[in-house]
Amino acid sequence: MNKKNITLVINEKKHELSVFPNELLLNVIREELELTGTKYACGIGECGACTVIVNGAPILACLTLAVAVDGSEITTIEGLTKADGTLHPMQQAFLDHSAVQCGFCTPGMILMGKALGDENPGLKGITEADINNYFKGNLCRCTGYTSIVRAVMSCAHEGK
Amino acid sequence: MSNTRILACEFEYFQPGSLKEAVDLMAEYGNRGKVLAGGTDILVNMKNGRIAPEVLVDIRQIPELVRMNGKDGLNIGAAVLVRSVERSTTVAQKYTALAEAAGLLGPLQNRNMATICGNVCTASPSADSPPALLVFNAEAWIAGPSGERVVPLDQFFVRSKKTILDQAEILTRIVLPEPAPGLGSAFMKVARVAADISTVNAAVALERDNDYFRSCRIVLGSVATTPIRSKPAEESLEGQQYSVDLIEHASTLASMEVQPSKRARLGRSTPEYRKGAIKSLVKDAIHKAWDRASEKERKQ
Repeated sequence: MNKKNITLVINEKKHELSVFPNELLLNVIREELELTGTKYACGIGECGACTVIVNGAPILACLTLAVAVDGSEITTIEGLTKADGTLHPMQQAFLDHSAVQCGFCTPGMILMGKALGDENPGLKGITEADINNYFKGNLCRCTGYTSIVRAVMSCAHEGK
Repeated sequence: MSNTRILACEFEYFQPGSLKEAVDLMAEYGNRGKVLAGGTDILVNMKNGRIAPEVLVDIRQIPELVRMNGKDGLNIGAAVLVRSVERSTTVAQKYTALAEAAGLLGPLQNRNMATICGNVCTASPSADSPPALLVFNAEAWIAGPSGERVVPLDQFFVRSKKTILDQAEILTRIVLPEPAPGLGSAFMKVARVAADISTVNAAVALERDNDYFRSCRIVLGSVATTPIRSKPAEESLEGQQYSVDLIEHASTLASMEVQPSKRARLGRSTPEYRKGAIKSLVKDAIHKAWDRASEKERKQ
């Protein structure tokens, strides 16, 4: 196996990296770039904890080869907070509605909320059923989902 | 249990820019190579140690394979994402069952990565896209060292996880002919939870002559080792006048297609359950497709 040079733009910052073909995007983000907000849980694409947004689309970093996303723009949970520390409305909503217990699923959940908002500006017309469908690949073992749906709905009501 | 945090096996990675390069690579490496598109099946199998290819040929940079074309039929390139098919207005209007199958195929993140052609190549008996493609008379376009061949999709599946693809061949696109005007279709599935693979699924496409069934295609998934057409159910409807009893009878005929599985798999359902589920599913799907066919009639 030979290393390959790749460029990743993560949270608007450019990174030049040298990776083996079998290195997963998840491990490059967590270990090389030390952005540990993105979580490893099931590793087989069933839980959504490793969700990151690549070129506007939420995908699973645990099933993505780093070499395959060379040149991509990637947003992780760390990229949502502004430089002055202001939280993204979705992050604030999760805090306001106590939609976090152990917190392991939270980065994936919040990124899905952001992606939903990006696809539907202001979350206009979004219903609980839409949220359940959009978030069906994100497992949470603590909250029972109610507070998570409530947090996302509150953003929809406020048009954030 | 294997460690799914890392991808332990080693391989060379190629990202060809043209179909010819990809075909040449697969011809060179044969059974040591694997075509990579979405990776949602292949990388899981590699992590679990079920396969260990020495070479991965990533086809996502090949321009002609990332395209979907909805003029004069539908042409789905091998690297077209499930989510693109799901969101296409052409697909939703003309090939409704396919749009529904794509939308139900799995979680959103997986649909953003996985491809329709990949779902077909994995050839899982419970896959969602094959029944929805088969009701529209899909064709598989295959490229290999000795050229291109076109095979009706109903001859593509051999058994569970096995297709007619030769080791060096690549499925380049799936082509659906232009549907008959007024055709109505529907796809439905039963699964334990929304994100799960199908316990059973069914696709229906039909044409109407006012209150009569002109033609009908019914394809069932997860009832045998490959997706199968229920010809007895189709024939029981064709030329007949619409009635609730007629559809009830057709769905009973469809439920008889459920084959007893030799290995009762843990966590999956019994043939008896599948029979019952197929009956309700086919009944609902016929009614849905019927209503949609009528909607189209009214529009014309």
